Amino acid sequence: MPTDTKRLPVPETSICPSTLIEDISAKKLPLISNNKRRDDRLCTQLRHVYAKLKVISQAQGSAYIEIGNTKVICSVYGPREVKKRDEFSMDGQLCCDFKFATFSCPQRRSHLSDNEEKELSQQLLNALSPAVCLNKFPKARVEIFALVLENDGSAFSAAINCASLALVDASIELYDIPVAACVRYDGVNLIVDPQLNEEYSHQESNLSEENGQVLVAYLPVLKQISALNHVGCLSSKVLNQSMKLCIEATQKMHTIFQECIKEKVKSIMD
Amino acid sequence: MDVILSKSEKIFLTHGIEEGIREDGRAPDDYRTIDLELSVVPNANGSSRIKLGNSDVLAGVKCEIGEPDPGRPNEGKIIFNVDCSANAGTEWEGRGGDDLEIEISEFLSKAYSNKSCLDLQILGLIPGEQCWHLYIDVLILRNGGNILDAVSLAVKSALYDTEIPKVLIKMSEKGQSEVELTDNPSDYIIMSTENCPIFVSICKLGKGHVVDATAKESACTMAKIVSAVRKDGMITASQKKCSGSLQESSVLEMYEHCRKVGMELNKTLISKLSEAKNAPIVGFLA
Amino acid sequence: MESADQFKAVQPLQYYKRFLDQNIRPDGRRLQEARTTTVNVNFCTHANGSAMVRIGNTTVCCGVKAEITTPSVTQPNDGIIVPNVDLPPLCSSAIQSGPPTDYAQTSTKLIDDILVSSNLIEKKDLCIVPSKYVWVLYCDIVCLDLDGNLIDASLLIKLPVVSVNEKTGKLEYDHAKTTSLTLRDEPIATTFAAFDSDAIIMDPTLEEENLCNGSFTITLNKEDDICSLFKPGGTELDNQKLQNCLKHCKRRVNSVRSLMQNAVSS
Repeated sequence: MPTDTKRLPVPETSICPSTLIEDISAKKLPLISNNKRRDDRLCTQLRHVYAKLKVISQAQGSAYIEIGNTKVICSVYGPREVKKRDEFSMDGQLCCDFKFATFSCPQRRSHLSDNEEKELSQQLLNALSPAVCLNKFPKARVEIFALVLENDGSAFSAAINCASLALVDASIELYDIPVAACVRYDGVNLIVDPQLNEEYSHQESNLSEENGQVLVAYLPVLKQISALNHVGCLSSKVLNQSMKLCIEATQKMHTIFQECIKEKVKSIMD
Repeated sequence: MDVILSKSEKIFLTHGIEEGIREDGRAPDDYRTIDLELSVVPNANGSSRIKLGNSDVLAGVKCEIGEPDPGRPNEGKIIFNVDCSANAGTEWEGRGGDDLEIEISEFLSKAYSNKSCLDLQILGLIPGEQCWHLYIDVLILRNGGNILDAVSLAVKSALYDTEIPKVLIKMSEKGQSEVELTDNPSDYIIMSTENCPIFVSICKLGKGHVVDATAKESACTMAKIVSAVRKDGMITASQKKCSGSLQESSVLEMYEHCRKVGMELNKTLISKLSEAKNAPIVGFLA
Repeated sequence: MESADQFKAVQPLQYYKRFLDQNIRPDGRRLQEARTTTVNVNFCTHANGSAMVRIGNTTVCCGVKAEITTPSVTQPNDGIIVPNVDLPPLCSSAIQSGPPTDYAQTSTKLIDDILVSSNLIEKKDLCIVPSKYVWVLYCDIVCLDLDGNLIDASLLIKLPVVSVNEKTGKLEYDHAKTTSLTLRDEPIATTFAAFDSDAIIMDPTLEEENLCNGSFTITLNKEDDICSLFKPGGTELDNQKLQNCLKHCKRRVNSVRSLMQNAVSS
């Protein structure tokens, strides 16, 4: 564990009290009973979505999104000039940073980015870059920062959505608005937009053989998939089904975002 | 890795692939020659070296006794670490390889996270107290395109080669259980690697797609799908990579392709592994 | 109108002084008036306590996580509180990703000092089993939108956060027994910025902070006594001015206190 000289010293080890209490009750519950999920939703029902543009005064563009209890804030800066000479390119560059706030998850996270966050930053970049007109800002870079304030499931897809809204707010030219959604398969059912206690985790013990989670970021107008990511063991048939469900869900989200952007434009016009 | 191609070179390659012709004469779903060697590192519990065309990957497995995760007291742990050797190219000097290292190791742990891949129960020793930690270290010696697939082949082979020493669990005088190695060094357990996934990367160039892209072909790739395929055709992890986007129909097509190639490759690898186990060790100076 | 903008761009300091001479600020506030402040508690379910504070555009949120650890040998009965102020690159264009900036570090230290001097939380209250288990409170403060006056906002947060902080369990496997933590004090900070022409303004924005020649922060405790005064350089400050500020400070603290009480009780 490297010591962090720029922050106050912390105890070397500490245990989170929630790990000591075995949370059996929630895990034993089936994902679906009487066609209802643990939070009374239907299989394909999304959680309540709230999105707002322009939440950070200092940023070129910013957005805040709440999907159920999952809260993500995202800001976009740029286009800025590229400082290093070796990074010169005629296409613009995107630069993504995805971070969980230290208090956002049941387990406290470190201030420094761990591998998961670094990898998700890379995936965020992959999901957004097909949608951005990079040729419009040669020799410059756009920086995108996403911060998860609270993770209650599907945090990464919320971050993709939040980042695309922030790009819209920053007036970066886009081919389309990437919208992401998640689907979980538990061996029997496919459920859309899982919350934290429904998400796939290999830590869970009593899992059936076929189990997993699929994330799709979709460009609804171009009808293209910009990001695809799945974990867990799935047959290609289920994979296809979940992809279709994801796409359906992104289309629902897309209409919500369109409303949100319309409102924003209206307020500027007035 | 950093192959710089002009626009016309890219078009030439892409058009060829759309016609089903590749620069080195392979068919779209042909792999390059794979050289496989086991037990190349005598100090590791298991190791392998894979040469896939120009790509060169070394994987080693080390077993250590440690504590199990609190949530899974009866199971061992596997920890992946990928290192891009700066010998392979200037772009990996210093921290240059970091992104790729993280990308590969995260994808490996995702693909192996499903318990059907590897039976972690046999790595458990004393429930809640001690278990085996398998450190799987991958060293990338040379990048000639399609590193991910080569890494997965190397990891699977190294796991196949891994011999975990058998231990006895004794009760000490104080009533605590203790772990003791057996005296017989040839007494070991071997894990079943039948269900370990291997990765198949499919690159989309123009309208066509190919497996096992060379460095040049990778440079022209708009979008790539990597999936971890088990021998029964189940996919344990997959991801879209590169900056392009894909149509839904082509994603499905590529998945099907991945699955077919992956099952075939798995079968070949499993049959070759037993041959390689008995083959003489040639080492690095061959 | 356009000429006013140009004037501001070319000579920002002169532009400001024109306003200050008239006893008013460009955003329409009086010199000793703070921006609208809102306090929102318990927004994050995974944290043991959390709060979000907005002062004008400046937004800060804080989550407190309680974990169990072993105490230091020298103070076996004392719990540990670790504050940290994080200024992620998200909050301002001036901040690049990387290690914490100097500003973040001084803010962290200042908050730590205030925590200690105001005795906000009695460290003995955090003890579970002496010299074996104590609570460690990680107070992570994340700034989401940096528009001046960070410290005030950060300190505001402390209070609602910790007052709703719940503690679980007594010894390791003991089951949920939650008690809320008693707070010994309520430190509230007010920041002023001084312009050289005798004008002292309360609650400066980022623009004002960049233009002024010195700022200072006064922290008052429950009894309206000063528990911390932080003045990092800048222009000199005579006693009379300070007394004057203190008066305004007390007024501000009272209004903030009622805001927080409302937020916590709702």
